[in-house]
Amino acid sequence: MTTDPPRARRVLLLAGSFADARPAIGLAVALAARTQAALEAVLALDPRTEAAEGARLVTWGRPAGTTLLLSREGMSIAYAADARAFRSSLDRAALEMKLRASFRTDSGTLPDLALGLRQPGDAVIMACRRFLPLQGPVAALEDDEDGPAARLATELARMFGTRARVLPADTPPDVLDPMLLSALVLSRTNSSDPAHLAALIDAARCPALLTPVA
Amino acid sequence: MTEHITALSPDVLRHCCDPVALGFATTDELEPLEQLFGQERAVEAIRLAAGMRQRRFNLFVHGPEGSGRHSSVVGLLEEAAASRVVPADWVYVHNFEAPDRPHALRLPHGTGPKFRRAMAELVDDLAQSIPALFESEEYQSRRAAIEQEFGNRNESTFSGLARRARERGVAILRTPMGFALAPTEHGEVQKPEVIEKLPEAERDAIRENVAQTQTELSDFLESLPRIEKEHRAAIAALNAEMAQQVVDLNLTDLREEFAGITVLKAHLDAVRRDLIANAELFLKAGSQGSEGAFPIAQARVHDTPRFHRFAVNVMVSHAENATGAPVIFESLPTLANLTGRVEHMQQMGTLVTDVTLIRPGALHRANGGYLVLDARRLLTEPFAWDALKRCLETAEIRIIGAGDRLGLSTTTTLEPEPIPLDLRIVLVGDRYLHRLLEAHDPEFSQLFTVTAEFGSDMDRHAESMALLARQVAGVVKREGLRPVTADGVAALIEYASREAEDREKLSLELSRLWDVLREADHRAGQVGAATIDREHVEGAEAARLRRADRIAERMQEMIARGTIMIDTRGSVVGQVNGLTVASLGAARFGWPARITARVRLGAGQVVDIEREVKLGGPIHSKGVLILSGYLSTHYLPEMPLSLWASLVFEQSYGGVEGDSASVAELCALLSALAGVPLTQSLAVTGSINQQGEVQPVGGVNEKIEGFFDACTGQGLTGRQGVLIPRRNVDNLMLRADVVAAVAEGRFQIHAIDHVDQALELLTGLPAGKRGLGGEFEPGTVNANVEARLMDFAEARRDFGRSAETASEQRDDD
Repeated sequence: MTTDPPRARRVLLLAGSFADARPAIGLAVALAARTQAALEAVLALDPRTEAAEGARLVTWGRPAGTTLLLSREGMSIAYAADARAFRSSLDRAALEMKLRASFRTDSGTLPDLALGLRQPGDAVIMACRRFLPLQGPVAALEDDEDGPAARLATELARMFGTRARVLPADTPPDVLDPMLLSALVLSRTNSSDPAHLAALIDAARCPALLTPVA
Repeated sequence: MTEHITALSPDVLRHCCDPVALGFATTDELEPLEQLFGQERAVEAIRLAAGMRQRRFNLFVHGPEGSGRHSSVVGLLEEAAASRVVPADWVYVHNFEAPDRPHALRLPHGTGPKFRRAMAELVDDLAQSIPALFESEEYQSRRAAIEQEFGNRNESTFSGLARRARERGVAILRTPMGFALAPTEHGEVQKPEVIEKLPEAERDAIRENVAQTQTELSDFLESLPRIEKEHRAAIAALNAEMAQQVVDLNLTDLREEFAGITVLKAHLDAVRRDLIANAELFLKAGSQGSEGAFPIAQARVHDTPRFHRFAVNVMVSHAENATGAPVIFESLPTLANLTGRVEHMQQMGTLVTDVTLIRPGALHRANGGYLVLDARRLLTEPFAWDALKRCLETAEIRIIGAGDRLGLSTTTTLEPEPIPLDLRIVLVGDRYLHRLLEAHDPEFSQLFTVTAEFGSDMDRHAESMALLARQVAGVVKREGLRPVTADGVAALIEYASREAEDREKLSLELSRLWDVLREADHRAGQVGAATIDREHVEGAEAARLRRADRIAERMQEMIARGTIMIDTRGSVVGQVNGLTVASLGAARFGWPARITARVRLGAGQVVDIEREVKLGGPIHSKGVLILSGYLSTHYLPEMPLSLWASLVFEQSYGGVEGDSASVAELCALLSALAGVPLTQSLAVTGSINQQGEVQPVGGVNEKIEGFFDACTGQGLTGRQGVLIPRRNVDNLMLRADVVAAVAEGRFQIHAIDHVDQALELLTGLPAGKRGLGGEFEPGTVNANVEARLMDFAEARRDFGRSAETASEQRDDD
């Protein structure tokens, strides 16, 4: 039995905002360094936010009683600022590990982009975060306890200083919600449907990884 | 005539050493002598400074180059240091209260490296045990409980909120601007224009749902900072509690090992607090790795920068079994090499530093003992002298770099706690530097109260020769040279006398003597000799001279060819052979120089042409003025000196310094006045005082040899020779060929006391003394001189009267 994690050709880090990306950058850089893979980051603009122009915004630190509305112009400025911060943070982290990283922006939901950009041999990280930096186990949704997702989960658990758990591949999203996962590793079998992926991410609210496939 | 009185016999021209009298066959029979000899005064001063315990009894040693000052000082200091106590170790450790001011800790000698190893092992151990602790079941369970508690309070709140929003048809979208609350229809976001077309009741319902979600989300977000803070505190408390167990466990042995050292207790307490507070530093440090085929039993992480705060930087340490105090010679006394320095390393484009980058200087290494420095090098290093004085005044070593002193340092740096200083500084220099420091640096005399002066020579007698022979034996033994025969040692003794320029002295600038000895050994080796004999010593000496005397040879060639006009035969009025000497490195050589004088009626002026054209140095000018004084007081003292005279070194273009030609210049001048020719077979050296007495000069051997070579080039006649001051006879250590020529009557050397003797030898006429009537004996040189001066005086008086009469007539008209 091998304990080596599956090797990746490329590590693709996808995030909808810098706030979501920040906790996942270290993970992406470490994974790329560990597997000698190229590192690419994408800041994704969720097309639903375009449709939601004029929607109410809720942010931290805003005085009670004031309402901020989502505007195209404001969104454009915030998106550009997030892109700058994302790129800068990524470059710094990559430099520390003597890696080269590329960065770009794209439009789409994280599951759509993950499945659309994924190439054979790519490891994909869909960045998401909790409100509190809670440390829970790293879960792998895979039926084979020695499968690639389980091995990657073990590796990540070692990095996080936590434990790995292997759950059945068809574990429903609502089971993940109370588990306070540090990361979720998905196998090939449960990572082909964007809607299912979106549901898993919403429930887990932690970085979700798609293991490299040949 | 004076010739029979002044001529020197060959036996006084070189003080030969009798090898039989030395009492040994070769130096193998002698007990080698390594200590200094002939420098008792200096040794006494060094021992005083070495033995005094009070501050400020620092020592300045001066003496000629090659006298063994450095090695002797170090040897004597080591002797004194042997009976002193071994100084303490000093280490720098991180100051957890003020990280830019590392603490200096004084530890018993031999403890510094042990403590450093112990701390390194502690860090390496913790790098294993802390991650293991945080991976333990106990920790994971307690951590999970905390996470679960906060997860329940917080994450489940948000899950419920998100679920309710979905049920109300409101999507919570994460955007870079924050959470956007968008109404949805069948999971799709409804655009505002679509909503506007809806009936008002539906629009109101949507607005109500969005507003309710907004309120819940806002309340949730407002509660987050407080909960997050509580969460951090709970985790930190758990981590600290767990870390404390493992830190205390690991520190127990270390505390026991160094229990007797009080200063370490406070530091270890601070280390413990920091380790507990920052245990997460170790979480990723102890991962096991392997280097090729060799598995690493334990990760060595103590060298990584993040653990440098726990490192121990040993500035100076003395082995546990060490004896005595240190004696350090710092050959390059830069500021950094003296007081130490704080180095920096590049990290992400910036320069950073920490306690491990403090480097010790010579003051640290010599603390508690002795530090020997070369004064000239010290004074030429920027800030070094000033820093040394500051350290001696304050009795502490404070590390301040040159950049900081100039205010040029813009990067983060450290200000290490000063280390108390207790040592004796020994500066080795020369007399000139000592005088300069005394005159221009008031602090010098305060800090360096003992002076040791190394002499350049010592008396030559049986005892000193025996000691020198034992020193030769010492060098032979130390350097593995061939043994030296008694005759070889005798040749070295003669060389030492020649170097001392005194037949009754031995030069103590021994480094040159040892160089000759080494070269003689090489020559002996070339011919397969088992011992070093006189011929090898003299061969080495001659070869050294030959290598250096290209210019001398060229000068002699030019004299022989007549390019430099020197007569060694015949007689000429107002012209004499003077003698000059020049030094080129270690080699010195002499050659003759034609000096001429011309006179005429004047107002008592003797013109030194060398001075007029600024080719004459001040001492030479002084000599000319002295001879002018002699002239004006010795002849017609009651009448004005009515003379104009010029003196010149012919064919001299490089400048003249010294007064050793003043006898020759006076003779040339008197010859010109008396109209009596001077023999060119003789050359003259010596300085003169106002009484006409001849005073000793330097370089007498080289001058004689230089004229001998010139005469040899033009052919020895038997009448040629040199006039030297009698007071220089003791300086004679002439070459063997010159001595042989004198012995064979082919060359002569005269020792004179007074200029009259020189005049008699050069003119062949009596110089003349004043009789009872106050006049010089007729027919003598002096009588002729005075008569000529009388003529000048009368002519001047007559000229004055006729000029006066002509003036009166003009007035009458």
